[in-house]
Parts: sequence; structure tokens; C-alpha cells
Amino acid sequence: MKIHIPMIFRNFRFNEINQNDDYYDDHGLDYHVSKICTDNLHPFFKTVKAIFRESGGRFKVAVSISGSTLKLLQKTAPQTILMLSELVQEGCIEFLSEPWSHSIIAFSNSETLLRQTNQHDELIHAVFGKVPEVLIIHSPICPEKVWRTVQQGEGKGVFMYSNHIERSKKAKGTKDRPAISNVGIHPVHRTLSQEFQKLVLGTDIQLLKNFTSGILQNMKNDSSPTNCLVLVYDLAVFTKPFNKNTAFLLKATINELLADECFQFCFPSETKTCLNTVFSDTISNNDTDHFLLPVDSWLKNELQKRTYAVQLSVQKRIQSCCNTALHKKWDLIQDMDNLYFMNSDFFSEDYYMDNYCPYTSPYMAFTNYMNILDDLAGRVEN
Amino acid sequence: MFGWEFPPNITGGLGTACLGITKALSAYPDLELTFVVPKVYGDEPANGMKLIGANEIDLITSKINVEKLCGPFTYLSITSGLVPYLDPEEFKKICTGHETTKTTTTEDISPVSIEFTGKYGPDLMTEIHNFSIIAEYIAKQGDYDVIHAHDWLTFPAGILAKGITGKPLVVHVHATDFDRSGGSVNPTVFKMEKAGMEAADAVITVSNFTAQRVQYDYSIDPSKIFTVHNGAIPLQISNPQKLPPHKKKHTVSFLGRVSVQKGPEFFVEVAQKVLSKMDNVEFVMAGSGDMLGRVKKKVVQLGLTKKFRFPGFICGNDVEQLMNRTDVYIMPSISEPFGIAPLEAMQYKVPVIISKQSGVSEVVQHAIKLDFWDTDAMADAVYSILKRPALKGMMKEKGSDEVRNISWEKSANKIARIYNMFAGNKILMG
Repeated sequence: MKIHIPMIFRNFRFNEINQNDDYYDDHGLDYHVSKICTDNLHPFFKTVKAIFRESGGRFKVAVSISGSTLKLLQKTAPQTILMLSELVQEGCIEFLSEPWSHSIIAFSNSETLLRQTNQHDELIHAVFGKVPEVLIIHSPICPEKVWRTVQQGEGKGVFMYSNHIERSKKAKGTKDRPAISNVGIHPVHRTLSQEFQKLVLGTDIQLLKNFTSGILQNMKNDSSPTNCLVLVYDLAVFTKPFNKNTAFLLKATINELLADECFQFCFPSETKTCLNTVFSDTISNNDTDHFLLPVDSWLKNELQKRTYAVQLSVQKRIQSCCNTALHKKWDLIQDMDNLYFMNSDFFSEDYYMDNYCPYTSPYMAFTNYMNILDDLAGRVEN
Repeated sequence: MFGWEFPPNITGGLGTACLGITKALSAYPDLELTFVVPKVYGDEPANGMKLIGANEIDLITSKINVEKLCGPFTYLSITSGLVPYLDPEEFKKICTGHETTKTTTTEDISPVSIEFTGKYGPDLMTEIHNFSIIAEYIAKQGDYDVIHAHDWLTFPAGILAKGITGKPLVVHVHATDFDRSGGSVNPTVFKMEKAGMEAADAVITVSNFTAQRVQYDYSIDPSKIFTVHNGAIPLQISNPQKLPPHKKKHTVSFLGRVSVQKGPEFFVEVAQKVLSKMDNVEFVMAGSGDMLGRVKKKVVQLGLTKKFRFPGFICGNDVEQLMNRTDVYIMPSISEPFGIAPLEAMQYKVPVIISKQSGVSEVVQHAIKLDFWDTDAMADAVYSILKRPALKGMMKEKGSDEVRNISWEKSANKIARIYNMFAGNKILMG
């Protein structure tokens, strides 16, 4: 289960650069958080708890929650934190490690990644009393030498998206998938959340059967007896509520998996000890290309590339800055969703139907975010 | 088809739209088009259609009952300050001191033909009436399948033509008086607009924005309203002016009628806000209109005189020259049924900022769309385009690519389908 809520900026105008460092739309953010909690997180948590109990504890869920989101929920939705704590006590969820910020910048160098993951893990420990053992990488860019620092230095397992492997293969110019042994890397799929949103069940039972068996078949195509598949349910990207229909679909799919002897649900920490295996060619084939995370969502058009370049330049400058308040600000505003909101898909009004974006167009997203980056860069300079 | 003006003798977007539509429709081999305007100048493009000037109709051989015509006949030529789309009362005020008139009455001579100005003069209502009489005659002479009338000026002509021939009437709403007047609707014009829409078998609107207006403000049955967005005629940018790649001064332009509808005062507000942060920017307001004096006064009051240029009404090469040096084009219209000018700017690879209250905002993605009153956001967008080459570059490239697909051919295709609804599918669709 992935929980990340991007910080919503207010309209930060060019004439406020170097004048005002209050970037947030507090009212809008409160409303957005409250809506996500009520419409998606709470009903999802309840469903997870119900399936866990009905399965006699065989259903297990890993939770990926960014540090910035956890802080946000602590401040504006404490009820959600309580519900998560209950799930921890019940024994049906385990937290994943990740950088504090849901950003690409967090992977710009080993030092930043270590600092941010430690900061994240400390907060998870402080709130839930658990220390995550496996790092999940959501960033579309994560240089190997950077994530290896965490994997080797901290002894953590690592989950990353299949396209990282694909990209690595392309970069090396090899035809075969690279064999990465004993590194604890497992592909991540974001099937469930995307598929569930599209399906309107109605009363057609055959449709449900086709849907669940389709997911199962795809997973079988993807797996070998010893490897691990990670299904990502991305709650915060939903524009539609998690309703009874989605809960029913989720239950049916999970029950199908539970009934199949080929599959077993594991916590991330369990996969770390038992599944450090060689990557095989069966992990991702042509049939499952649609499962891949679209990396282009963040860094395809010129606006995104320029913004990322400015982010890198701010990161470079801020590293030598000892003002902790600026660091805190920077950790909050470097979110890669700011790049996602500049995605060219948002030029089409139809795309807004299924995807959340606080701006009316990528041009407005770019203008507002660049004003904020310019302001922060100016403060770092000063 | 009845229209009030035709290029090159135009004063606004209506003539440009008529050119685009007729040119694209003339490509249909099964479609014979007759376009009637009050006055033909002789320099109009042939365009594959029959162009008739109402002024060319011989009143004696046509046996038109001259008693039906309104007199005295007024021959009016406007030397300057031509403003399209204004209602007659407003125009009278503006024309004072700017017009040369020669009046002849029916008592002086027996007219062989009626001399139309085809413009928007003080005797506009007389011309509209007389045009409708001639139009009725022309409609009776041919075997037409559909009558198509462009904007309220020709709606009476359309109604009479329909009455005499029994053929279906299509009225084309390029603008309503709500748009032109900024809300202070002229009752006479409103009545004529409503009568035309009610008499019509189909009402074509240039945007969904206008369709809503027609439905709610004129109480027209939505089942007979069809939106056909305007297109853009590919520009022959023959002689692009070579500007230094790093010219010292940025240029932000406004091109259009300086009237309340177009929101010129918002342009000045944007300028004031941008100039508070940037010095090397000039603002050009090209156009004329009833608010020009007021806008100039505001510019003086704000101390922005050195940063503003008012070249007046421009066309042809002057537009091209302005666009070649423009970094941002703004259309802050309060109510714009469509707005062809931003499409032309995009063809010149100029980033555009347009009001959300415009029809053109329904068809373009690569423009910044904002509320006309949100001058903070507009100034922000101008600053961002001027300061950030990535934004400017993407808007230029994507915008010019996008506008290539907004063609009059697509508009004509929709219009032909509407004709077919009434003409028994006589037009073979591509």
C-alpha cells in the first residue's frame, strides 16, 4: 500500500520571490488530506483488516508512506495514524523504508539518500515502534551506486520497479536481463490500484471472475517459484473514492490469490531473508509491459527536464548550507509530484478525470513551482 | 449565404471567418455557394463561389418594389475609427467628428441600385433593412437548398429569404450583443438576434461558450444549436523579420478592438504588475475603439507612457511585423465568442495567454488560460514566459504545431453535415 500526499502550494506569484516564504495552501491541503483519508485511506484500512482476519493472518500488507506525508497526517489527520497503529498491533502491516521526501532528488547522492532514509525510519520508529528493513524506490532515477549504499551499508533489502532493470539493461547494451545475485531486488507492479479504478463491476459475476483470474494469470506469467512480486496499491492518486465496489474487487482478488497454492503473502522483512535470488528472464515479459511504471511521467517534456535541472542545482547549493530551516523547507518542496504535475498528459482535460492535479495546466504547474524554487534558491544564496 | 463583410475589406473577425468557411466549403464539388454582401469592392478573392454585392442589383430590371426600401438613402464613408460589431447608438457617438457623409434622398433621384456602405455606420438599421429586401429578391431568383446567415446584421435577410422560398434557414452566431456590449445589451439588436435564432432551423455557434449563451440568454431550444469552432487560415509568413537573437527589450502585445469586450484595461493592469519587477519590457496595444482614450489616460496616470506603444488599427504586414517582435500575446477578453487572433499569434510562434471566457480556449491546449480579471496570474504568466526559456520554447513549438490542426476544413465539414440534415444528404462527405 503506497500512501503519499503531495504538499499543495498556493499561487505563489513572481512578485513574492524573495519576499515571502509561505508556500502552502493550508486550507486546500487540509481539505485534500481530509478527503483522501475519508474517501480512500479509512475504507481501505478497514478492508485490509477484514481480509486479514478472514484469512487467519495469511494476508499481509507492506506500507510505503513518505516522511512528509506521515508528518502531514500527524498534523491534520491523527485519526488515520491511529488506524495505522491498530493495523500494526493487529500484525497485518509492516512499514517499508524510503527517503523522507517522495523525490528524485533524494537519490542524487548516497549522503542525501542515507540522511533522508534515516530521517524517515526514525519517524516510523517513533510513531509505530518499528524499524523498516526493506527500502522501496519510487523514483524513476536511482543510480546503482547510490541505492547500493543503503543496501550494503544498512543491510536493507531493496524493492524497485521493473523498469529500473529494463533501463539498466539498455544502458549496458546487453540483450539479456542482467543477473543481479544476492541483492534482494524484486520487481514492483502497480497493477491493482490502476486496474481497480477502471472496472465498474455492476452485477456481472463473470466480469469479476475474468478480472481476478486475469490478474492471477499475469502474476503467474511474471513469476518464478522463488521470486517475489510486489503489488502496489497507490491510494493517494485516486480521484474516485474507495467504495464498496472496489472493496469487493480487492477482496475477491486477494481471496483468489490466497486460494492458489502458488502464492503466499509475505512481509518485506520475510522476503529479505528468503528470497535473495538471481533475477530471471521470466520476471517481466512482453505480456506484462503495461505493468511497468511510466518513468516518462516525470522527466519527459522540456518543462520537467528544466525543473529537474533547477532542483539539482538547488540541491547542490543547499548541501553546503547549514541552515536547518532551509533544509526542512527543501525536503518538503522537492517532491517529484511537482514534476508529475507538468506531465504533458495534463494538457488534455480528460486526463484530469482519473488523475489528481492541483493546477489547470502543466504551464501553470511549471510557473508556480519555478517561482517557489527561485525563492528558495535566493534564500540559499543569501 | 448572407454576410456583412468579406476580406480584404473587413474590420473584424466576422469577415475572416466568412473567408475561412467559404474557402473550405468551396472544396466540396457538390456544393454551389453564393455569398451575398452589401457591397462588393472588386478586390475580393474568387474563392470558388459566386460573390454578389447587394449594391449591384438593378432595381429597375429586378422590379423590386422601391417603396419597400427605406429612405432617405444615406451614402456614408468613414474615414477612420471603424469599429465592427457595435450597436447603432454606440456607433453614432464614436463617429462624431470622424465621418464624411453625402446624403441623397429618393426625391432627388430615382435609384437604379442601392448604394450600400457595407459598414457599420449611423444608418446601419436602414442598410440592414434594405439588404434584407435585396436578399429576399436574390433568394427568389435561384434554387437554393439552404439559406445561411452570418450574425445579426443578416438575420433579417435570412428570415425574409426563408419566408419567400420556404427553404431551411441556418443562422451562424459569431458573437452576441452580450459579448459586444459587455452586458449592456441594445434592445433592438437583441430583438433581431432572437428573431433570427427563433426563425432558424439550425443555429451554429462558434463555441460551446456561445452555445450556452444562445440557449440561456436567448431561450433557444438546445436541440437546434450546433457548435462549430472556427479554424485558422495558414499564414503565408513570407518575410520573417530577422530580429537579433537577444534583443534588449521584450515585447508583450494586445491586438484587437479597444472596447470593453476585449478587456484592454486588464492588459494595462498586467503591464503595471510586470513592470514593477522587470524594466526591459514594452507593451504594445494595437487597435482602435471606443475605449482607446480611456486606456491611454490610464497609462499616463500610472506613469507607464514610456513603456507603452499605441500604433492604432493595423493589418497585413504591420501585424506580421508586430508578431515577429512579440514575446507574449495576451487576449484578456471579458467575453469572447471565439477569438481568431490568438490562433494567428500561435502561427507566428508567439506564446499566448488567453481569457478562459473565450471560445478559442475550448480548442487550444498550448496556451495559458486564465480568468480575464485575474491580472495577478496573467502577470505571473508573462513574467514566467519572459524569464524562462524552457516555457517560452515549449509554448512556441507546441502552439504552432497545435494550430496547424485547427483548420477551417474541419469547420466546413461540420457545416456541410448540418446542411445535409436539411438538404437530403446532397453533399458528398469526404
